[in-house]
Amino acid sequence: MKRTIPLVITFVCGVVLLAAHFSPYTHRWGEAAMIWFDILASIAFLLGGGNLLKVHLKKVFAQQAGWAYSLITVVAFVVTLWVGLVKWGAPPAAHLEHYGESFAHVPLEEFPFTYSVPGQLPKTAERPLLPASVRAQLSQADGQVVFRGWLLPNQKSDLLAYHPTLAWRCLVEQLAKAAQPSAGFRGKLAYYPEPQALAFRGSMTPQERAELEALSPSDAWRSAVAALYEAGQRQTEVVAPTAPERFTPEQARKISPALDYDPASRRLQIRGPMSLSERQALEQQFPLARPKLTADPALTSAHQPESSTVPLRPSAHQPGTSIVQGESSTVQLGTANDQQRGFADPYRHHLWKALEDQGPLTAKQAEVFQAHWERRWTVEQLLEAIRMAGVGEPTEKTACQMLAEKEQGVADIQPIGPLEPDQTLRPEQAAAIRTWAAGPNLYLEDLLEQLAKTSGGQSPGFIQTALQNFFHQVPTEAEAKKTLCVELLRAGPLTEAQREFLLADYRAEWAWRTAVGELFRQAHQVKFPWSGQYNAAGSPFWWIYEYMFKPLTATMFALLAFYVASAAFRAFRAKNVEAALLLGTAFVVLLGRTAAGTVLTGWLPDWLGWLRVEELTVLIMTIFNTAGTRAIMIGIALGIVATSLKIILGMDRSYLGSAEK
Amino acid sequence: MFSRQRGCLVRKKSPLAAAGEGGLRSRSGEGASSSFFLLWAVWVGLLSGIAFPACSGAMEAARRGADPGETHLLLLPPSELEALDAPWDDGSRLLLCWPLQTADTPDAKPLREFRIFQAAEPCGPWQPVAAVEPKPKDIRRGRMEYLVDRCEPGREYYFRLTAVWADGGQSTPVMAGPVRPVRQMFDGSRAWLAGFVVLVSGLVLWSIQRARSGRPVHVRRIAGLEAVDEAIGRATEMGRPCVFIAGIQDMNDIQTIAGLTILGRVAETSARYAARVEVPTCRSLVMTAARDTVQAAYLAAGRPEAYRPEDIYYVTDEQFGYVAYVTGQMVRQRPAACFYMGAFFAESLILAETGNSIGAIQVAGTAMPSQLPFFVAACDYTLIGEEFFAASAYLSGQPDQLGALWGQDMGKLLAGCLILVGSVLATLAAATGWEWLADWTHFLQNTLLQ
Amino acid sequence: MLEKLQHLDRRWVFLMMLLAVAVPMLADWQVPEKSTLLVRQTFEAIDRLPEGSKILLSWDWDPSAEGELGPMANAFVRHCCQKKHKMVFIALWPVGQQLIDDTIEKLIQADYPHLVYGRDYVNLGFKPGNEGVIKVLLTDLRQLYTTDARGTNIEKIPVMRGLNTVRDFDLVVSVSAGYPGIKEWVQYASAAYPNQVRLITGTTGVSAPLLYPYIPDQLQGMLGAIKGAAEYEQLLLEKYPPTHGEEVGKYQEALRRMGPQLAAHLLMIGLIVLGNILYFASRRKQS
Repeated sequence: MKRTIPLVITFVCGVVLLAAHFSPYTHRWGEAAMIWFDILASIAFLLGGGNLLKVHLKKVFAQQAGWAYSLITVVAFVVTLWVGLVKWGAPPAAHLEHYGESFAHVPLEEFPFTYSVPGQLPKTAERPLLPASVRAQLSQADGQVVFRGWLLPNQKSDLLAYHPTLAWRCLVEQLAKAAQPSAGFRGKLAYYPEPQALAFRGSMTPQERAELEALSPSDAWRSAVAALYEAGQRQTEVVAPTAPERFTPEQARKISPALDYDPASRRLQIRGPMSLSERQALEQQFPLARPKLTADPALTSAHQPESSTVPLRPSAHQPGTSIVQGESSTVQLGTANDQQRGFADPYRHHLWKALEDQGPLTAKQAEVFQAHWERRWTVEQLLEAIRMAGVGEPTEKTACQMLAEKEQGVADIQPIGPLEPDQTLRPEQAAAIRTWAAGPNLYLEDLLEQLAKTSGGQSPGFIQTALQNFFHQVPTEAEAKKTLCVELLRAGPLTEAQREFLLADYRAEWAWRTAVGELFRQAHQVKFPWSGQYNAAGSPFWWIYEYMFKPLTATMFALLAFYVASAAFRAFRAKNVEAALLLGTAFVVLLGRTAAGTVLTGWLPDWLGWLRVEELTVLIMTIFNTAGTRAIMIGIALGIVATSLKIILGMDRSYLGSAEK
Repeated sequence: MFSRQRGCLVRKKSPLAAAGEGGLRSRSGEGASSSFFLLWAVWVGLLSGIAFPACSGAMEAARRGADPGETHLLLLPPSELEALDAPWDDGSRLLLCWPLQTADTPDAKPLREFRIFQAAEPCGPWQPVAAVEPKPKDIRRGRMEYLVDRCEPGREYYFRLTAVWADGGQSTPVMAGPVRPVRQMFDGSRAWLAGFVVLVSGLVLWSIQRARSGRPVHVRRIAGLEAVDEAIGRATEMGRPCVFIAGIQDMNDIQTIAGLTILGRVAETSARYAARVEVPTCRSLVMTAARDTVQAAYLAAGRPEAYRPEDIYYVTDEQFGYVAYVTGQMVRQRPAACFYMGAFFAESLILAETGNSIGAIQVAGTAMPSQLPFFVAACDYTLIGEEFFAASAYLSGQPDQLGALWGQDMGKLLAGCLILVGSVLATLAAATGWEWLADWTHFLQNTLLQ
Repeated sequence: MLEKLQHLDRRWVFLMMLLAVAVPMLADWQVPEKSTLLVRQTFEAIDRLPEGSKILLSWDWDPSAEGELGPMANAFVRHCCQKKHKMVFIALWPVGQQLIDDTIEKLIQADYPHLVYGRDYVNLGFKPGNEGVIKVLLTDLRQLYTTDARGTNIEKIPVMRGLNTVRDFDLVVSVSAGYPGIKEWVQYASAAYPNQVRLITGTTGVSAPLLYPYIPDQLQGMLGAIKGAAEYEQLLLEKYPPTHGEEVGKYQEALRRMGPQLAAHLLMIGLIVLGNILYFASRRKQS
């Protein structure tokens, strides 16, 4: 019996896997068999781990030869297992945490809102089940499709992909429109079916609480609303050692009514959780990097020798202030000569001069500085980005629109509607952008204000979007100076004063961002603490992997180079003709893979070109080597077939340890 | 007692060397299984390797050139489109067919391509599927076909076909549908493969039956397997253990199973000689299987009390971690014999060189072609590819197991004949330019052997 | 002496290998590379295209193959930038998308800042599906790539105008470490549309022998292993010498790695020859 059961399992699994390869109906059986194997292998790992501990601990306690290695093995095993299993230091998965939202548990069956749309759930033999994301919430009753909850965007996508007909897709669109919170709570309130959680974004006001509680008398609903209200009232505060120059309490409330800032004590406070957009807005309170201003052609007609500008006094520079707003009245943004000669980028000139004044700079550093400046963004790039954003997009028809066309008898329905008209930047708007870019400190909201003025109210949406996307990639001026500092240090030395000049602003910015990040973290309600990756960057497991495991693996791999050399010295002997041929071939290939081969036979004329070492190498690898490998692989394949057949049919049981047939 | 041949590339066990030494003196049932076939296959492979690439280009040019001027043919717009379920498939394909009619009328125009669209409903919206051009063969047939894949079984599809002319204009679309792809019981694209599997398996089973009926089967001497006993004997004499490494893959790899098969024999011999065999494994499941194998081997040898389960242990799944441990153990414990039987990757040379440095006798067997050169260079004996799989039969000595080897050899003969036929066909097709030869070669290459 | 050499401790051999690799690396010893025909064909495939040609670059590799493929990927991109070709990047491997971002940041933005994203090059990112992606690219790439990797609608990207299928590109370059990779490009793109899809590749030394049968019909050029990369870099440096501002070092990585490779190979040959000399000498002595 002990031998029979494994043989039966072997036979059944072998036949199933063979059948799965040839019969489409049994594909899933083959996959199931492989999954069973994976499960068994995983369970066997527990045995293996236990065995490892047992063997090595025994060695350690008995102080057998090599017990120190066993001790290291045990310690490494336990530490790695621990940090990996508990995911020590691994932050929760960002896409599951729903930053900015508070959660309260409401079981699905107690969720008070259902929505129905007339129609039928499609049923096909191939897809008997609804998509997993909606299975628990969607049902059919009395000719209506009923949905309990509020339809999320991913659920809508899954339902649209479930069946291709226009009637079904129109039904899904209607359901998506109906199954939403009331207008006042759109974008704030959501229900997530998997954790069965009611979510509210930001801090709930008492009025909102009253409105929500009035929506349903259900106890579960009311207690969830109360919990969300309480979560939204929790005050969190941090002390920010530095603050952006223009950051005021009004600025904070402009970002979010739940935010507050006390300049005296430098306390930054928030009520309830902080969303990612609020965090981003808080962090982006510093001026953007200056652009590379190109010369105005109208000003380049006269070239005059460069006059020196009055340098800044480095000791007077304060962190958080822009260099061009130096405290001294001697600071100039460029002389009239500069402008006449078309040097419309005085900031660059000033930055260089300021660095020169605080210490020597080498020619290489000058090149690096120029290269750094060449990489800065230009106004032309910004205008191009806005122009691209204004290009009209084709409109996509909804499924209901296409269904309506179908019912009207349209024979060839097009999914794409007419192109939206192109939106262009007006000359005054472009001029406003240029003026802003030439200004001392570049704040995006200043630009948006100016553009709003030129547009008579609010700047067009496409411009706002284009600006947000463009400047998302542009660093702040402090970051740009820090990058410049690193590049200059690679090219030569910098004095303490120069380093301080370049890094001071970034230091302040970094401190502010750290404070904002800390506030974000403290204000966040962790939903799934163990959802993160066990090897998340910065975690102890990652550290072990990056700085211990990878170097050790690379070292072991590198041993091959040494062992190949010793094997070559010891074993490669031309003892007969075949061995001599083999060695000759090895020499050709070894030389052909290096420059030495080219040098040795490069002098051969073209008609003897095939004798050049590199060409011979290709010939050997493609013809002779491939032929030999193919022959061996054919033999191996047939050996596998015969062995597998004997094992499946139980003719060969030696792997079970039995010598009998 | 035992003289070990070391440091010799050629005298070790490469089939080429064995061929030179007398593997060609094959007796009945033996010849094809061995180096003779290997040599023959290498030369045929050379022939195919040299001839085929040189000829395929010429052949393809011959095929293309057979119908000059097809790009200037005037075609009528397609008059109909037929959509059928593709036969004998997994329900993911549909077959579209439409007629190709050449004519010399004003309606006929030079074609750029056909565009195929699909939709879930007859009114659309239509999604592009493919843009295809007719081949000369299609024009000769007067009919073109296209296989639409990535369809969902049971779902309705509609198709639309439009001809796009060279001047950019388009013909009136023709439609077909609804059609539903159906999953069949058998995947027809694998019919030939199934046939080969049945043929080769049948040959193996027939040869096993033949051997059981009493026909003698002679297998050439495999030096590596002959040396197992001597290696274990040496270890016993020196009072040092043996190390057996069953590869670094899991039980779902046939090489691991073949390795465990040999482990059974090695363990049995060790039990009889009272030698210790240590089996560090790279996978937990291999550890449990190896323990069963060794325990049964000790029982079969009549020495169950000598079995030590702590000699078979799990190290780690990680490739280089495993080899670091094993080499460390080898350097400290200095085993007298090392057996490497299974699937190996980059660690093969590290293991073999370490074994060499401690003076152990090493026998290796693997079916990884890229690792064979390292084992051949550094080990005393190497089982190459099929020798490794034949080990179980060889060591058991049982007639029906040996009979399976004969069936394997028949399979190799079949493979060799197909290579020869294909090379000759391809060469002749290129040399003569005859289309029927090119068609046969194409059939052999893309249908029979797909 | 003979005895001593015959029983030379292997650690001396290890030391020799260490020196053979370390000394050229530390001394930054580079040898000029002479290009072979295949590498020249690969070079010409990009070089003879007129300025502004549309090139599809598929990054089918991950950091584990950086040793061999990193330098050739950089060389391809530099060549395209020098020729002012329009570059469209895609990835068939998940990590390929980050490698494309690295390439854009460290090469194009650093050394060719005048090139504008969207106008001169675009990153369409990674799409799962292996060879299925290639099949879709053959018919309608906009079906799969509705936006670029940054989320911009593909209709708004100037460089993508007029590019609907892989046949609309003037050249396809695949830097390939395995599956899916150049073999899938050959099988599904080049074989499906012979003479309409021009394809070149940079691949690892292990994969290169398997691709020779496809040259020159389905595959118009190939760089195999670090040697091919070094030859390509040499050709590139000769034809387009570094100009002011370019950080040249990153375009000589393969050349830099050939020094240790040459030294190691010569050491191997020397050891084999020495071993055989010792063998024959001892045999003569015995006889």
